[in-house]
Amino acid sequence: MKKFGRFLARNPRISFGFVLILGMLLFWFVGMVTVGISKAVPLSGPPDMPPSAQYPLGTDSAGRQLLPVLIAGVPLTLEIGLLAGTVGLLIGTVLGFVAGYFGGPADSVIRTAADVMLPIPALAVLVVIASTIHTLLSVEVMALVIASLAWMYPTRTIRAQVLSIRSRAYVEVGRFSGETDFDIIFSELMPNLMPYLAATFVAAVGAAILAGIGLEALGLGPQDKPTLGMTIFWAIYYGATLRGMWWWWGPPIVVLVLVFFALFMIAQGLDRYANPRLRHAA
Amino acid sequence: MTQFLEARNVTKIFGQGLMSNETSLTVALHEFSLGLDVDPPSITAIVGESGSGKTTLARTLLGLAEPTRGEVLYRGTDMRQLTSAQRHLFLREVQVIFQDPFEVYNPFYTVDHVLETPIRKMRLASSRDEARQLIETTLRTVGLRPDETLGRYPHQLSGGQRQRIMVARAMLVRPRLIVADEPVSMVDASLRATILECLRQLKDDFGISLMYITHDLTTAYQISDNMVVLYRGRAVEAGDVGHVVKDPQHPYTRLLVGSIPRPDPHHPWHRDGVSRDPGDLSATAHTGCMFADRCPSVMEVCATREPPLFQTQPRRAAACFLYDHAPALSSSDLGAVLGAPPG
Repeated sequence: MKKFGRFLARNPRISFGFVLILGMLLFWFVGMVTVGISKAVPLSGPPDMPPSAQYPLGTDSAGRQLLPVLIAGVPLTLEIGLLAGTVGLLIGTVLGFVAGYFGGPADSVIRTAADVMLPIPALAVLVVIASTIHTLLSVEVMALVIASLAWMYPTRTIRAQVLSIRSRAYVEVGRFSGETDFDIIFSELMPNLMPYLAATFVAAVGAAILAGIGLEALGLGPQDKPTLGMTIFWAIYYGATLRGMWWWWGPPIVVLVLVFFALFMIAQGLDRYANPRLRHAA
Repeated sequence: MTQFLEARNVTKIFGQGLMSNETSLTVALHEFSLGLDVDPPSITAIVGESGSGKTTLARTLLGLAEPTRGEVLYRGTDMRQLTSAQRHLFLREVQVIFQDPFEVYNPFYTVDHVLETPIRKMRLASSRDEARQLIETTLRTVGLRPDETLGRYPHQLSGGQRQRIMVARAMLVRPRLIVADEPVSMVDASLRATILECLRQLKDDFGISLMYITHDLTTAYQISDNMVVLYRGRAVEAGDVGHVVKDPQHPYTRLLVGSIPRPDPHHPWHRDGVSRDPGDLSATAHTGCMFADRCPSVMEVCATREPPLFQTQPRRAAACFLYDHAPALSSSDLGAVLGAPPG
């Protein structure tokens, strides 16, 4: 724990990103305790009210109170990102290690599959999938749908990293010390790839949140949950921008900008940590 | 009798791929045969210049590279067909020391890792205390103080210390043979002697044979019993180290011996007038002796045929037509001339 504290002190970008994310979790926690999310449903107040003492962030055209909507939406957005990012990274790590370490036909198959999938615009495919299973779509199912198209990039980059370190002399020494392929992957390769995997994970979370918001803003997200993207969808649907209702579309966008900024800072900090040559650049 | 480790007609060609053509191929080893026995233990030096194929030979014998043609046999079994039990036995009996004493350490771990792993994986000790004891005694054997070594990261130790830990690692396993690929070429000259002394001690005190791969004739002369001189993937001379160095027969060996710097400013290098660099290493259809283009005693026959190894003395062989009165070695097996050390 103390070591982790020192690590943060030496990597201001990472700490900054963590503080932002923690701030958002704190907002959610305090909000749940003081305000609650029971008023995040339609008809909880008069429609189209600007921010006031009674309705801190105003209400939308369906009468949802927007502060509870925001409190409910922040964790949902983070959840989709974490879930889809984790699944995507797990698939990517397994495939990347299999392709990079064992090579051969498995490598050809995995590499070709990733290369074929990579240039297809994920959002187009996600729109098709999401609109097909629209009625079944919960937050978790949507995360899995996003993850199904989030593994290619991690696979490709992790494979490249594994290729570069699997031929190091210490891997050969490990083999002569009696280590099996399993030992070599987990005790020689994995530890050295940890910062890299962490950076890939953060990038994957960011990409997953972006894909999720995109689906939701098109109205293809889970219908029963007030996610941030869904709020933006309703704001567009009811013409909130034209009607000058900044309190409707503004807060979710601010939160999203902060989320992406935090993830970007963490990813960049990890990249600098994993790649010492970047530390002196710029 | 099956030999402990044997290369049989091994050819290794690099650069075979989709984009390569005939001229981009590099023949690192050509129809190379060498048998090594470990009983009684001996030190065999493999000497050659850069590109002579000595590292390729080591990697092929260790199973780290597959021969393009031919086979490597461990106790009579092709390396590619070892069962997993035989593979385990191979690791118990054959160990390795690499050239670069930094690359061989995983930067994530302290140096303890390379010593603890073989003990854990090969069950060399039955308890933690026994393992610790084993590590400490082994470190002392190679001349290191355990309290100054253990718990450090590789970058906190000198190249000499790191290489001695690698010697200790190989020694822990108590193999029959250690293949050492240029173990001292990246270590400070002042520390070379101590590491070479460690290696000789392995043979004298623990009965471990050594295959010492080097470009440096003088250190090879210091510690080894036998010597094989490689030139462009072929063995050009082999035999007892004293004979080879003091009375080189092959013109290339003479060039090597003549290139040893002497502490005498009036003594010129290259008495034979051979100073040209080797030609390109590509595999363009080459007939005749590979050394013919640099050889001072080149004859007409050298351009037409490749010389076989002639057994000039009971424990000597040279691949040169200067000795075609001597019987040619059948199947070019160098094992025949690399006997046990005298005495």
